[in-house]
Amino acid sequence: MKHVRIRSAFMAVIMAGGLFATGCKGKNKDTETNINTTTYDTSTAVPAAPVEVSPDAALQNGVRDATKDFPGVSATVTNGEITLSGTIDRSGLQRLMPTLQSLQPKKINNNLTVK
Amino acid sequence: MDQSNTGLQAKYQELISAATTSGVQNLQVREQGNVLYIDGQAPSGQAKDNLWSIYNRIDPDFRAGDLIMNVDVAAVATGTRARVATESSNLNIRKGPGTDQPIVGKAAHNAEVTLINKTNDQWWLVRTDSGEEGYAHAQYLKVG
Repeated sequence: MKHVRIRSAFMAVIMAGGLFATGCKGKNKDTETNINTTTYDTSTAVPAAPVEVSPDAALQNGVRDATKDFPGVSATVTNGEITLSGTIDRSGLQRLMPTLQSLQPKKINNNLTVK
Repeated sequence: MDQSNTGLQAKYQELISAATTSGVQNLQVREQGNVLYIDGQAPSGQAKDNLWSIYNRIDPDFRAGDLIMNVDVAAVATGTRARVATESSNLNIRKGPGTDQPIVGKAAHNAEVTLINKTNDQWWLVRTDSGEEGYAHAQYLKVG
C-alpha cells in the first residue's frame, strides 16, 4: 500500500513538472509575440535581425540613378559604403540623401561641399 | 550593446521618438559597426519629410555618417496622385526602372501623375494625364 502511495506521489510530481514545462513554453511564446508587435522602446534591448546591406552592384545602379541630375556630384561604392565628393546645393543634398539611404548602404561618407 | 551604440541612440533620440509618435510602421532601430539604422514605413510623405528635417537638424548636412534612415512612405495606394517635384525641368518617364532605360514620356515640373505601383523605393510606375505610362524616379515625386 505504502509502495503504491509513493508511486502515485512520484506520478504527481512528473505530471506537475509536465504542466510546469508547458506553462513555460506558453510564456516564452507570448514574450516572443510581444517583441514582434510592441513599438520600439529605448529602455529595453530588442533582439533584432542583422542589418541588411545591399550588394555593391545594386548600390552602384541606385547611386547612378540618384545622382544623374547632380552633375557636380561624384560617388564611389566600396564594401557597401557610398562615398560622395564634389559640390551640391543644400536643397539638392536634402533631396539626394533620402534616396541614397533608401538604397540600404552600410554607410555614407559625405565629403560634398555644400554651395 | 556597447557604450558608443548607446551614445548614437541618445544622439538621435528625438528622431527615434518622432518616428514612434508619428506612427512609423515596422520601426526598427539597430546599431551595427558604429552606425545607427532606422527602418520603417512612414504613414505619409509629410511624416517622412518631418523625420528628415529632424535628422538634418541633429546632423547638419548629414556629415557624421553614423545614421542610415530608410523610411519610405507606407503602401501608397494605386491611383494616388503624386506631384512632379523636380527643380525646374521635366521628369523623364522610362520604359523600365533605371536611368539606362529608354525614355518613353515626360511629365512637366509641378504636374501631377497617377501612381500605379511602387516597384521599389527608388522607382515608381506612373501614368501621366496624357496617358503615358512608365517608371519615374521617386526622388522627384511627392505624395501627401
